[in-house]
Amino acid sequence: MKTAVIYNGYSFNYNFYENKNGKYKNRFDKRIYILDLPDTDLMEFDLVIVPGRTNQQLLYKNSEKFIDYLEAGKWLVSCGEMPEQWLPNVKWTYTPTNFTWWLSEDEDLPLIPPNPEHPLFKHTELENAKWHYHGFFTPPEGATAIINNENGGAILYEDNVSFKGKAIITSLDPMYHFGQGFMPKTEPFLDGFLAWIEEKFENEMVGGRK
Amino acid sequence: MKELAIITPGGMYSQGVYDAFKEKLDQIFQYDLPQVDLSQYKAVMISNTIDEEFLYKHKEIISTYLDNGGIICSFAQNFKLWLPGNSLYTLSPTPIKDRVINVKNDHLIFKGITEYDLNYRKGVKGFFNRGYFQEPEGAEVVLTDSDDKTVMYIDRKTTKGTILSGAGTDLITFGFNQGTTVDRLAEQFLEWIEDEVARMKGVNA
Repeated sequence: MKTAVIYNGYSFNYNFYENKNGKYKNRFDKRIYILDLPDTDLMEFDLVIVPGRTNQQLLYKNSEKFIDYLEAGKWLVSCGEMPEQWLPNVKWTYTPTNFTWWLSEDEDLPLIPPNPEHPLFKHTELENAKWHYHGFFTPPEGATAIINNENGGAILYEDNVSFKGKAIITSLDPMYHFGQGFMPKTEPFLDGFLAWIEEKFENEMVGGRK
Repeated sequence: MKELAIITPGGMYSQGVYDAFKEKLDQIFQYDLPQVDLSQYKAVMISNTIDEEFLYKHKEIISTYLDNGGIICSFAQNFKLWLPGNSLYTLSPTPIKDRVINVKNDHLIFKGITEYDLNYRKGVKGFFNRGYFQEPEGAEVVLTDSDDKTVMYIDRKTTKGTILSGAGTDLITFGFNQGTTVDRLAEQFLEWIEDEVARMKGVNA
């Protein structure tokens, strides 16, 4: 699975690769600097990951490129909020961020998996997704919600219906937090999330039906 | 045109806070920097989130502005050498819960702000700062951490201008509408800029 990650030149993007003795330094095939995106051929990749806090205006300017990529049957992961709708059928809603819930032992950050047996949870437990989020998505009809908030807004979903390829959209931003060097849960979440995607790709694209 | 500007990545969480200071602060989208004449500004801030690859490519814009007597206030966690004198950000190995940020010499920027309000936001630590710099020789150290590492310094030696560099410490956004003593941070910071402009005029008179 050939994977590219968008790179904004922000310190937390850079430190994502450097922290923890460079754990993720060689994990992906290419970093695509955001200003190089217009001249980059995405078709050589199986998966493109857009980390949280990526420049939305520049993503929007490259919207057609992402749509062409997805219509070619490729896979894309988008982390964090999406205030600019640079992908069709993605509906984003901001919510106030509850970043203090964990201060009280009795409190929880309610996250609900519509299917608790979803294969993601073979690779990481739901608790690892609980740090905070800045909003939710309303998935298109036919998409698969994987983690919802208590009001049914999607925190993580898989869209198999809008494109020939697959868009995995989450309001969680594990790469940002790993790059900033805090919020330890984001590491096991990210490891499990990536392992699930790789397993899924192996099943569906390599050994599977496509 | 205002007397102050901030270079921003555009469209981030902090955008709304910067907008609240629009009477005083021009916002420069980071990729517009080569087209902007910085010499029109008394001071130019650089937001915590910023494309350092781009700043590094255009670092002569920053150094030229400073050598013409400008004031740069950077809140970046530098990983590239685009800011004169800066020796890059180091993430502190001390757990956030054990680490305390301290103000040196009751500096004007932080006057009246309690240690608790500087270190905690709604009971959570780490929003203000998680790392440090090695300050340039002769710099004034403004903030340190509990390991005596430099979190913020003012460097009047490296260039003909003044550099305030905080290791991720955004002085405009951090105290905004928190309802604590830290609310005064941005205004006191802007007052410090006025003082620094006056001091430099005195130096150059």
